[in-house]
Amino acid sequence: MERSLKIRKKSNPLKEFMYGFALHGNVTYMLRTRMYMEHLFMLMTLGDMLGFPILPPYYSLRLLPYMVPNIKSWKMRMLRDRDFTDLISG
Amino acid sequence: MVDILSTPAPYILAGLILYYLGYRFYAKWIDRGVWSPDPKRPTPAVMYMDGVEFFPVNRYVLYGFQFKSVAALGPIVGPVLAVQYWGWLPALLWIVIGVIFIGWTQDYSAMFLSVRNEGRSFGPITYNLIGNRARTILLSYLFIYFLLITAAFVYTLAATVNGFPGSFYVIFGILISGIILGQLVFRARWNILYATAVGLALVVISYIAGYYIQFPSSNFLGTYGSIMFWSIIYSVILAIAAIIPLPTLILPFNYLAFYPAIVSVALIILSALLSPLSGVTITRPMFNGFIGNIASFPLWPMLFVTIACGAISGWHSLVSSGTTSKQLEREIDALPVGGGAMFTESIVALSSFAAISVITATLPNANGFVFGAATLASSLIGKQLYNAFTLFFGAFLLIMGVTVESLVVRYWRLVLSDMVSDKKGAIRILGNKYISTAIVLILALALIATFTFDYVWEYFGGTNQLFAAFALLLVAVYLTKVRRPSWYTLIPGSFMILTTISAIAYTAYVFLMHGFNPSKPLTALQGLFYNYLNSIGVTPAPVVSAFDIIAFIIGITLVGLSITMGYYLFSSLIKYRKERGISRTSGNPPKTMITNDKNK
Repeated sequence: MERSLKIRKKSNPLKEFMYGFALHGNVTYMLRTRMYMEHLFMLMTLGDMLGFPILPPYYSLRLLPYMVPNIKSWKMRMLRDRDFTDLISG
Repeated sequence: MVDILSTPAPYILAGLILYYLGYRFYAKWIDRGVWSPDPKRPTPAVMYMDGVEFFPVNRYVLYGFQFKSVAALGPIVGPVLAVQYWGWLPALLWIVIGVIFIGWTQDYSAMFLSVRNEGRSFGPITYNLIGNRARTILLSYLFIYFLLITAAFVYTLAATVNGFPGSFYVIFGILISGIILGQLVFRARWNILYATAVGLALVVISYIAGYYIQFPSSNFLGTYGSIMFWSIIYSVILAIAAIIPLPTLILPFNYLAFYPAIVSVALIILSALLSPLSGVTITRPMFNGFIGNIASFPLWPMLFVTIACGAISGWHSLVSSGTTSKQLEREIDALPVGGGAMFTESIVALSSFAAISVITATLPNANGFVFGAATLASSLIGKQLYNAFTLFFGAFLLIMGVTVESLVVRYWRLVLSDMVSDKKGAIRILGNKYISTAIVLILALALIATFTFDYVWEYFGGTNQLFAAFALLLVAVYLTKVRRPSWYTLIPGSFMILTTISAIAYTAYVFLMHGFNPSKPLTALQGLFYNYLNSIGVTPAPVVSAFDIIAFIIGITLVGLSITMGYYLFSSLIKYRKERGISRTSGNPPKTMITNDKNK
């Protein structure tokens, strides 16, 4: 078991480098796209409280339990000072 | 048996050893003495983890990502041009010394600056440290920077395809393979391994097709007409890539292109290191003189901007502070990720140096790299494979260009859209994605059309290096503010800002002088433009003069923006020094660790 762990540790850097080189940028982009989609979703469902009545309150309340865990990170992202230089990832 | 010293091997080896020593001693010394990373201090990735933008990533993954993001055409084309202009020794010295004392510090420090500022990118950090005007200048500067990258890279792509006709089918095949791979993975939900196998099989078919289909041949419309033809074709490809969603084309293309690209880099380095066995020797002069032998460039300041990303690049600081800093797992990873990736990228520059130094032909583009790399590799593996290697390395150049350039065009349209988003009236139409993309590519084509590539490259290199100088000085401002030694970025930053402003001003001056007296072309390359205009019955002088004046205006705008930005940076530096009562740029750092500014 220990030996196999050692082997795994030794072989990981190359594998991880390859992953980072080939795919990590794609994954980062996908996640960022998801972030923007989440922003829209939050705005749709919580829009009522912000003065944008997009969805009827009934549906907003039905969706609220699914939104609550994301509110903190959403708020943090929305309040961050960001501009174009945040987008550059090569 | 060849004289080992006449081959590129000892110089590449010496460069690698110096990189190791630079990383092992100087970089680690700066790391410990200035930023004092603490593995227990939570990074923004840990502190603000949201799983989408901020999340900790293993250092090896980030290292691979950072390397892929910073390596493009710059470290290949820059050394090729510099070796041709001034000889191989000045180019080699600047690549090695530049990386050890300036290049890595910029990438690493920009990353750390962002990490210590809650993962903010350069725009918000500039706003916080200096003010809103400085941020506006920075964004305006980026706007011109992206335009110049586009002009320089599209010309290089077009000249490469014109030199190696089959390479177009390779890159086109990889683009199509990328689209198919994207559909298989994202729509058909195939396993990535099977999809990759299909994609790579298509890539191999593309290479075979490129080897056999040599149509249209080089210069089929004359040199000028052919390069303009390919420039337009590439502009169309880049426009499509910049407009459609990334997962449809660019992401799968970049993924597939990774495989031939990594093989190419490894093959060139190996061939250069084994050149004493293959018998390939350096055929270029060691030193051509202070004034370059193609365009009349003085070694200072032009060498330092010509080599561009091979030694230092402003693009890297954008990547370091834009994405990587938000995913850094521990502070101690900043050095291997930021610094390590820059040292690795410079190995690509060394490989380019090796390739161009073994051939005698002087070409006004990057094709010398392809011939040199093919010479190195075929001498080692089999001389009968020379033609296959020219195709392979020609396609490598195209891959490196298209992967980054497609993103640059996209960023340009985002910057333009950002700039006009709060405006009223008809100007808002410039933010439209089709119009903004068309504008950048048409402007780039206009710059290419004059065939002043050598000078456009200097503009590009100048803006690129100048952005790096801004990054270094911004780091110095921050370090001064938090009472840490700032000399290690202040001195290189001051040198770079002086050098790059001089280089851009010199290039602008040449354009202005030529604009007043355009009877002769600036370079032999521009002579083709004159011939073309004569052939269609247009007198070259007024056309060239108009283009020269436009190029002069671009240059003088850059100089103006740079001086203003330099003023803001240095005045902020003085302000913080006065505030903190620091009389010297270096000094004994306080024993306490730096914390976020809010805690100060």
